[in-house]
Amino acid sequence: MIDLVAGSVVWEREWLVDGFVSHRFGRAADLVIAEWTGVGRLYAARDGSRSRFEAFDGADAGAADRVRRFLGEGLVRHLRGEIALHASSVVIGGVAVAFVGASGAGKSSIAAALCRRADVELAADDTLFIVQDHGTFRVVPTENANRLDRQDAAGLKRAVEPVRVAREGVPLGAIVALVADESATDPRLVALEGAMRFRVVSDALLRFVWDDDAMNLRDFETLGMLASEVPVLELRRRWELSAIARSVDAIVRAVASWSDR
Amino acid sequence: MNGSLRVGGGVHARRFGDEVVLVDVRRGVYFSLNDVGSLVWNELAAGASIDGAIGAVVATFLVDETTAHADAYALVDELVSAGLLERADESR
Repeated sequence: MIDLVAGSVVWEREWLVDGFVSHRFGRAADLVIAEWTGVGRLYAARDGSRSRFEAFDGADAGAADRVRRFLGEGLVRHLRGEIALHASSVVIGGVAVAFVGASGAGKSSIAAALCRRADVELAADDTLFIVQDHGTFRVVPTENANRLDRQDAAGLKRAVEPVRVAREGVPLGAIVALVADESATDPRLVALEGAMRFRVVSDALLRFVWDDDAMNLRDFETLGMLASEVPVLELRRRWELSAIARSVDAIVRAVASWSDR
Repeated sequence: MNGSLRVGGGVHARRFGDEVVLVDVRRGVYFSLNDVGSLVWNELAAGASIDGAIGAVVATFLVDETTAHADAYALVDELVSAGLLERADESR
């Protein structure tokens, strides 16, 4: 049981959706706290130890479980020195590809569309855990099924089918930033260079501590290595169903070209 | 303003090709510089004066000295305002 005196939590950052707080981060004593409105609270020490998720009374059990397993686990992993990105990921030919982008950019839709192919496995739908293994960045598969919500599934105009699921940590082959671009006649997959590589990766980082010098420096160095060593690309496409299918083709072709090198 | 400058406390830099990304670890905030700004940063961080950095910009890019001068001083003002650079005569 977390021993907190009522009112002792200092909330430091909050995010609004339609004028209401969707989630917020704060602290109490030596614990950092994340709260998802109507769902639950995560408590942890700054080193990731003593982590505990408590669902609120009346919270949807599925939503609470999902927050605990993905966002909550990602935040705890970050405290422990690992990387958690707001990203989907699939494995193609033994190489993981991560998709990042703003909410609604199509991360889950692209992953689901790719997973309709027999040679593609799902690694992550929304939250991607990355570990360093002897200098190689590897993804930690977290999903046992696609989790497209009803709205996404309706957008694809077909049921979301069971998919093959990646079971082992596989090397991260590329990070792809999804960008909606109505001027893009065909989906374009281009390699990013320079500081933009870092920006794409850092924008996707899950974290809930900003005022810890050592942790911020560690993030900077780790994200810098990730952005330097793993190719970072940008996929520009129209927001329409046909663009998803052509995007899948472009991604598969790109991965095949890496394998041929 | 042409006093010497130093990198702000808690500020770290990393190069990505010709561009530089900065972090202020005290706030966990990132800043990215374009290729010209990165050259100015690298020169200043190495101890060059602003005029020295301007000379490097003129020697590297197709830009006249007047434009480089204005742009470099504007950039330095922004970097100082953001706490990424400190004037040597200012206390930490």
